[in-house]
Amino acid sequence: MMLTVTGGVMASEESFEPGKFIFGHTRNAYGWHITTLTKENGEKQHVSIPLPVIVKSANNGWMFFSSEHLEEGSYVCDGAEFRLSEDPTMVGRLVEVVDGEEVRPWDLSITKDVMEVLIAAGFLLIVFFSLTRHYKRNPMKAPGGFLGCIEVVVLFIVNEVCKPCIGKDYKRYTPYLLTVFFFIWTLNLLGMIPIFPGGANVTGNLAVTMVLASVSFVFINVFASKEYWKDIFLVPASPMWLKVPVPIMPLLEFVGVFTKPLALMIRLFANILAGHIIELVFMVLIFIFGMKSQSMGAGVGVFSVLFAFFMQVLEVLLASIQAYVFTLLSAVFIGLSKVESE
Amino acid sequence: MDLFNPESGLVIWMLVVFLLLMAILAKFAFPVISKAIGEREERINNAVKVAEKAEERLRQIDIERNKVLGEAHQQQSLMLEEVKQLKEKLVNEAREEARKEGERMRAEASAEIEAQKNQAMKDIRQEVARLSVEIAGKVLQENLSTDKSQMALVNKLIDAENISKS
Repeated sequence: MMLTVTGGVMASEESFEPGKFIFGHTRNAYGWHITTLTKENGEKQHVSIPLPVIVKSANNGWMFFSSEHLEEGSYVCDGAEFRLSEDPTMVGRLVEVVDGEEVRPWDLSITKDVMEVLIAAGFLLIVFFSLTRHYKRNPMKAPGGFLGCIEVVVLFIVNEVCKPCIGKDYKRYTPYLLTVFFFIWTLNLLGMIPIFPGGANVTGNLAVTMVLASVSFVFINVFASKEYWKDIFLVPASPMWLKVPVPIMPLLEFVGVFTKPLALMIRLFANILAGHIIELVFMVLIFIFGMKSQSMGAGVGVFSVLFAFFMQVLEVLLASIQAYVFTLLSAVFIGLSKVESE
Repeated sequence: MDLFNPESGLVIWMLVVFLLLMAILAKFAFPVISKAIGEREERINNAVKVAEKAEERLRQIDIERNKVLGEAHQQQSLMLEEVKQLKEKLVNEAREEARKEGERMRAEASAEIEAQKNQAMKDIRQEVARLSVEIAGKVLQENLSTDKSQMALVNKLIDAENISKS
């Protein structure tokens, strides 16, 4: 991420907006930006990995083009005009200009975040199929090295998270909990690598955590026991006047069904986003002071880099903790939904 | 804020990729992994059990060996004791025998001595009698008188003879 930062700022020294800069780096994008170079004649040149844009145009149906075209303002193709929105609720998102109005089309582009998700998924497939192959080849030997670490983590999730939190029916949920843990963990760690194949703020994107939390929601509620629903709608533990005539407690309990996954969603999103923002703020500080005077920028830079390094180390810890917390809380909520009458 | 406005495209892709990943891993990877780990665990548990059993058996063998050894030791000391007693008995018996034999021999010897002494006394007495008779004869042949001293002597001799005979 740091490399990207330096490149980006160099090019836009004259009009530097910290807020725009920070959110530009935590936001999803259509291409995978690596750096921006300034040529001798002052012309800016973006260096980025182009990604496919897939949109359903209002008139032309499904369209498929490279993200390179979006770098210079609007892109016109077969009579359809596309550009990146400036609307504050969807900054940087692709819109189609239809009769002078911005319309958000169906957008299934392989964006930076989608690409990162695919990379993480591919990585996990490789890792777990290597592990599977190891067991098929030498069934009684424990894998060593990297695969050994993975095995230890798998065992940890199964034995320390799934079994104690869910109880006897834990086997149904282990595939989900293992996948979600490794998925979040991989994405968190990939997000800390400054350049491709890392650097995308995926788990700090609400869309991603929303999907993860929704899957958790499904797993929590779909296989829930009868007792669980009884506890929610009848609330046998609370006094009668809290249920009749106004069902305060059942209502609260019912809201709780949704707040649990909501908390999962917000926690992961906020933690990872905050981590990225802190990192970026330290970098931005250098340029804010650097614009006042170069020596001041250099002085602040030393401390900024030190602090950023410290935060980065903390982030490594946080990346693992947040993955663990998401998994653990999902397991706890699943366990709560499996209550049996004594 | 666009931060709180999830992109539908990303949501769809994320959902598809995540569910697909989960399905593939749940179908092909996790069962193999958990099975392999379970088998290994079982094998290790079995090995531990076998080792424990072997150890237990070894301990029992040790106990048995010590027991047998102890018994043998006891028996040995018992036998030694018996042998000692037997020895003492034999020695005592031999000693007693010897003592009895000695006593018997001494008794025999003393009886013999007594007998011989008696024989000798008898012989001596016969000799004395014969001598007395001889002497008396001589005395009678030569000095058969009424000499008073002569008579006294004869009487005395006879007395002595009588006394010794009686």
